[in-house]
Amino acid sequence: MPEILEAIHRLRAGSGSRSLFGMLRDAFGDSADYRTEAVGASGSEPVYICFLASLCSTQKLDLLLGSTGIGELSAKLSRYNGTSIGEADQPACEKAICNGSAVICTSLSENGLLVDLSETQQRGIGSPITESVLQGPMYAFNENLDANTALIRQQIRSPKLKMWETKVGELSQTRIAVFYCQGAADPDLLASLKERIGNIQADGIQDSGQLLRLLVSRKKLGLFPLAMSSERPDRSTADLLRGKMVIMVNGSPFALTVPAVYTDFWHSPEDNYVNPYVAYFLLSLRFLAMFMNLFLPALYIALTSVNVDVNRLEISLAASASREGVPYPVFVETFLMLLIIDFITEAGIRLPKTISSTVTMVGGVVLGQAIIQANIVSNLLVIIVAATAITNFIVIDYQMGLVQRILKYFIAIGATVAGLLGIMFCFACLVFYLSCLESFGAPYLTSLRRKGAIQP
Amino acid sequence: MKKNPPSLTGYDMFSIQVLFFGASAGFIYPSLIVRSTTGAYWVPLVVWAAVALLSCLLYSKLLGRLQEGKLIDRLCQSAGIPAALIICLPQLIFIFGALVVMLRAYSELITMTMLPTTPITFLNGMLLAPGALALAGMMPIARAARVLYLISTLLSVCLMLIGFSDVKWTLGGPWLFTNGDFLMIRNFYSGSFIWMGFVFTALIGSYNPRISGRYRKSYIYALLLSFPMIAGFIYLPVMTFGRELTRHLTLPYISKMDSVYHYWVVFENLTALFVSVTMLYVLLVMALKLHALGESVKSLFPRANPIWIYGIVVLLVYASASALPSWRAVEGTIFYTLGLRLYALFGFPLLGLALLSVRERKRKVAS
Repeated sequence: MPEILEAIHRLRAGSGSRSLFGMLRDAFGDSADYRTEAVGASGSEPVYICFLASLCSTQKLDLLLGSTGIGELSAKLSRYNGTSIGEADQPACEKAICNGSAVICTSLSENGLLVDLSETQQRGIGSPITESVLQGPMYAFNENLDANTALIRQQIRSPKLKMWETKVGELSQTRIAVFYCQGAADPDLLASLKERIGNIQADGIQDSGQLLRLLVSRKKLGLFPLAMSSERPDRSTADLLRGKMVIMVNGSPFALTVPAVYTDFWHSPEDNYVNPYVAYFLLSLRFLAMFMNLFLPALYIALTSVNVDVNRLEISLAASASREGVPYPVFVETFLMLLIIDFITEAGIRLPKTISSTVTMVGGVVLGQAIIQANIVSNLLVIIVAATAITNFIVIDYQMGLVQRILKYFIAIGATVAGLLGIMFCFACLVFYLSCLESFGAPYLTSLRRKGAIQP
Repeated sequence: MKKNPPSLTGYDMFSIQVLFFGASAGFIYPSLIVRSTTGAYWVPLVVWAAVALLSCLLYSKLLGRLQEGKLIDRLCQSAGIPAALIICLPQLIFIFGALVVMLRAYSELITMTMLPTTPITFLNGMLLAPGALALAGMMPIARAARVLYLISTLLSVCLMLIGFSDVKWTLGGPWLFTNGDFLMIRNFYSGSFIWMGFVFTALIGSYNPRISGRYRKSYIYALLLSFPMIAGFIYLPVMTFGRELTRHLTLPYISKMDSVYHYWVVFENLTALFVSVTMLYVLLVMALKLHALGESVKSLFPRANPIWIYGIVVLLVYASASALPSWRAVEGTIFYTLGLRLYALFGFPLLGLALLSVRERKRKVAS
């Protein structure tokens, strides 16, 4: 490959005291995976190739390494026919080595040639873990931005799908991509998003959730998630067609959709694939579950301790009978049980799957039975708490599920203070709070109906 | 380019008006109407509805004169701040009084029905939530109104339908007879407060001729939809207890809810449910009133810090509501503020119209 060889011969010797080879050795000297190999000679100067072995493809490297004769350099380089090889100075060479490229230089040259030998470590395309459906596409994003871009492009084969990319993180240099459909997305939002991403000051970004925290100013950081996080390409593409924007972070399998409104968190991707009546039924079921999750423990407190006359006499008597022998006030036993069920849920999520089922069994059945027999809580409360836990799992979005888990305590406190009125007051406060929220310029509380998709 | 201030959509205004009726008509109002006439009860309702419609048309005409601006701002520009202050002062006192009465009446209602031992001063603390919403702005109020309208109206209608299950229709008569006796009874005039939702929405948001048409229409639709509900609040207790007994009840609709019993209704005490649902209406409407008051004060005193304005208003309302000694004082306040209500209904829009007309004529002459 005469051009590459010519380029090597053209590399000028450094006028300063240090050569590129020396500076690279100083920069990466303490890294065990940093390698320098002599692969030939340019006149009397030996030619070296410098790289991080952990980031370079062994297969591609084998082309350069492995043989011994210095005169074979031309033959070795000919294997790289068609590869873009450019000259770069020391900072660019350092950056390129960190990205998996190799630098070819002589011992005295001040610049080097960059050869892209990078190999990205990634898992294959798998099934979604947090958003499983029974009907619909069964593949999910992974940690590779290029693979994720391909998944989106495969679903929207139109030039209207645009992708803006930048790097964020002083040290991590993480690739961030913003996808949008031209003509459907709000240009003002796009401009503001680009500005916000450009203004991020951080050493590194590991996940899209972390990016969201950095995108939303500390003042506006509230309890509710302001962007939809999804690992499903079908969901992201559907959102893109509806005029939303999708942000992806290299290294994170979760795409962020902005703006996101409250009702978005209650729609499953499956809703688009099943009969619309069934979808409406499921949606209603989810909202009902949300209300039960929020209000059931609080109603128990209100109806058994503050507003005992509201319930039917038979139910009140049954509740009182089940509490017979329980030494604590209603709110204490309720908070105790809610905390225990949250402990069990958290343990079930964190532990390996093989153990988590045992923990759930022990926590749910054994502990539940024992706690009743020990007269610590009433039978009725165990039913209430179990129902509350089940309804929490109906929440589509994991982040929203976490918020629900917190909010039920808030409403239970309201019920403890003022019974039914306390519940209503807390509910009103919640609505007021939601009505004040905005997700990237869009009011969080908007209608339940989704806007129609554009035709790409 | 200068961005226009936000304005309410027709649905926003409609939701707010329905919530206003829901917040005002359920507790004191039925007793006022039942005590005001021996004839058909719907006649005083229709009379006040007609008066309110007339006033709404006046406001609509006034708001139609604005070109993307707020009413009080425009009055200040046209007449100067001191003159605008004189015109607006009775209006501001009216809103303040309406807030105090609503807060105290609702707290009294809670004390009478659900939490008899809880101090009124603690219950009045509920004003903090509407205060925060009012400070957040008009659009959050509108968004909250849309949500609460769906939830609370549904629950109210359900409760009302359940209430119809044990009524005797013959007790509601006379259905057509009226001799106009209510015109001589002060209770009839005291009941004017429930029709005035449009006065508050006129003071918030920006208006132009198109939005003022929307404002008028939304009030008419809200009135048409809410009229059966308001009539239900009056007629349901009458058709359950009879006219004579109802006249002696302080809160007739609450007593009616107390009397409902069906084995298939999960809850035994529907009063508690009604009072709880009413809380949603009341909190939203108080936020609306606070916002109208706060924004008006802000227009009149542009240099004042909004947080301080809202903070002081909330504190004053809280203190005044806590200072009212009894339920009778609440009823008395409702009657004695009649003059302010009439000013808000007719005096303010007429003065505003006159002011803007004079200003326009002067400008024409000058040009």
